[in-house]
Amino acid sequence: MKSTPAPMTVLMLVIFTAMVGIAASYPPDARFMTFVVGIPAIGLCLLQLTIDLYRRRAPAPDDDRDALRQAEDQVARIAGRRVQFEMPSENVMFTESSHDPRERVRRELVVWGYFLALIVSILLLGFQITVPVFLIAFLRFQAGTNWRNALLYGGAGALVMHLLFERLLKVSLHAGFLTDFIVDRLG
Amino acid sequence: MRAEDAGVGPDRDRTRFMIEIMFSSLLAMLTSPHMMGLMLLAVAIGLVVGVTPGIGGRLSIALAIPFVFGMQMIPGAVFLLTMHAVNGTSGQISSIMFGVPGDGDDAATTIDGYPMAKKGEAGRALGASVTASGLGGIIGAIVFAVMIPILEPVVLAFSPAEFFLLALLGITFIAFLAGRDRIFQGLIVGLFGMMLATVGMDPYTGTPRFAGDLLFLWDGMSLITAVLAIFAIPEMIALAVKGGAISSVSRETAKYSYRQLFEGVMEVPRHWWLAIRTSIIGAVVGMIPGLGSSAAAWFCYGHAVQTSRTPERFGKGAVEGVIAPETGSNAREGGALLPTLFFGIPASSGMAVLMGAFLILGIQPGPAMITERLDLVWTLIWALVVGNLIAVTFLLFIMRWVALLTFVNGAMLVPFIVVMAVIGSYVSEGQWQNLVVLVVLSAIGYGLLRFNWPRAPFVIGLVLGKIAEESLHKALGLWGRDFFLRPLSLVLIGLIAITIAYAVYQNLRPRGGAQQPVAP
Repeated sequence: MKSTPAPMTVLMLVIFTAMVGIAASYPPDARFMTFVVGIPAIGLCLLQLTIDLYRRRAPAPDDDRDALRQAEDQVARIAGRRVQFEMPSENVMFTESSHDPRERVRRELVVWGYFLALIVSILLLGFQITVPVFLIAFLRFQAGTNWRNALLYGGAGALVMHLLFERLLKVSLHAGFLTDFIVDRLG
Repeated sequence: MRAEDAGVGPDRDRTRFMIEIMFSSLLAMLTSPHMMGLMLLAVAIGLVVGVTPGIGGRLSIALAIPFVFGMQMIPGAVFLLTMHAVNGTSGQISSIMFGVPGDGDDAATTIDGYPMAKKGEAGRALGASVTASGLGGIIGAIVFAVMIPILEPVVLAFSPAEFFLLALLGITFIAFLAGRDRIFQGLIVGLFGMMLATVGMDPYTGTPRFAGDLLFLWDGMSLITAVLAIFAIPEMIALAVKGGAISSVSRETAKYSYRQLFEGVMEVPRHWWLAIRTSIIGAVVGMIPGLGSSAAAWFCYGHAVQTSRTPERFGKGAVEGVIAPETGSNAREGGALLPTLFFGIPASSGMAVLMGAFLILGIQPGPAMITERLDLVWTLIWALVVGNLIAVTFLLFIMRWVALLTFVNGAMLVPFIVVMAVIGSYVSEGQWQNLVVLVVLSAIGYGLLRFNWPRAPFVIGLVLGKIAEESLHKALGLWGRDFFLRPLSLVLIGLIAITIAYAVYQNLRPRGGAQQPVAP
């Protein structure tokens, strides 16, 4: 995947600068390690930003050879002999499925939506209610299984996790901030 | 256990002591139903994970960490190492049968394995690859064992105070592993991990750094939550976004008989000299941090081509083209364990996560592994040997059914793994606030994945951060600023500087042609 790395560099720069800034108010011994790590990190971020800009001005030429030919070149470099690979055309090894960028962003938002909903729901309603609902909903609407399989796999998965964590490992999972309130209201 | 504690002189009876430890570790492992049960479970999980598309070795370790959290040190380490070591043994099943490599290591096997399957020799290719993989794992462990007495004086030259520079060197190497043109990104990510390690109560002044009134952060950032957030959640989100299964691949190539499988097994003794050579190459490549996880397989494949009298058969279904990368790839694990355990420098990204898990279990990599924890080192070596033997035996019988896992739709695994990760994060400390931390760090982790930044250095930085800080304070207390002028410190600083200088050169030189592919 070819993407501009600048947003991550900027994010890291902001994080390091903020942490070093906050640490400046700590006693010398407490801020020592933060400075030892943070100040060089800020320098590296600035260097990386320079590299990002340099690359944007002089982008690397795209290598249009397919992955199979690249693999042949690699073996030829190591072995000092050239061999030809005969990979059947239907092989999926050297192909990368790609979505349209807008479609990709849409899918990312949907999946992140599921993840955030899972966390918020766990915090409010607890694991016991959220996990089966999440599994079934994801299997049905995101993985594209039919209702019967979604209920079967999702229900079985939730049951196994309940037995594994709460019964076998005796772990007390978060019950949810609103669960008691809702149960009381329902009588 | 120390040699001195065992009542033997440090020099004279060192060999006898080593042999005693070697066999007592094996005996303790084989006679413990608990340990053997854990190993069987680890082999089963490792094989399933290896063959299932979308779940890599690193991810499986990250997900297993919450389960080994309360375990004793040795059983926990054996469980994780065995699971990691056998991942690759089953990974090539889908490479050979369907032309779909489990991960980067298996790509070299596909070159000859899949054409063999297309010619109706799937059983022969599978028999050869599984046996070669098992043999490679065992020889890799032997190479590691042989290197212990050779490297002992080097390892013992390091004092705990030098751990700070070793941590920086580890981050530099693992950043280099991510790709020479991404080393600065790797270093930034590694330092980000180290920075997060400073969150919590400062041991010297009692200042709650970056924690304020958030009591749950006073003990520091949850390692398990951070590892799951940076590795597991982003991988799963990416898998869900990518979607789809490989069910379009023909299952015709998967047909084989047990007779064919046995013929394949016999191909390894028939090419024994190649198998031994490539195993040793793989183990040595594994010891060198920065060469990348798939390098061993490609080096060994290239070596097989180089030394063959009939190189024209390669790429069209030569069995040597299956044996060489498989032995090399699995032998690498034994080699990679050496810098991980003795120097705290993981040689691969998988080893980086494994080392994080080891630290959580209380295993402190470094010279003490030789002086005080030789029993653990030998137990881990035996775990590699026994784990590989069990895996090969298992696979030869159940391969036909294990292969069906290749057709599992990746998107169907996502919700289960996400729930496991969320539960793991919560269970690690029983704090609901960790779920919020999980979301925040997962967003950063996904950003790293999305923009193709390396993530493995984060784990090294995070797990070594506290030790590095303690070591830095200790070193400065003992030697002041002269600490940086000690001969070993200068060597370490020199290595870091050379690696970074090379990366600067690689980044700024005029670009052209393809970079050698390196697994992140």
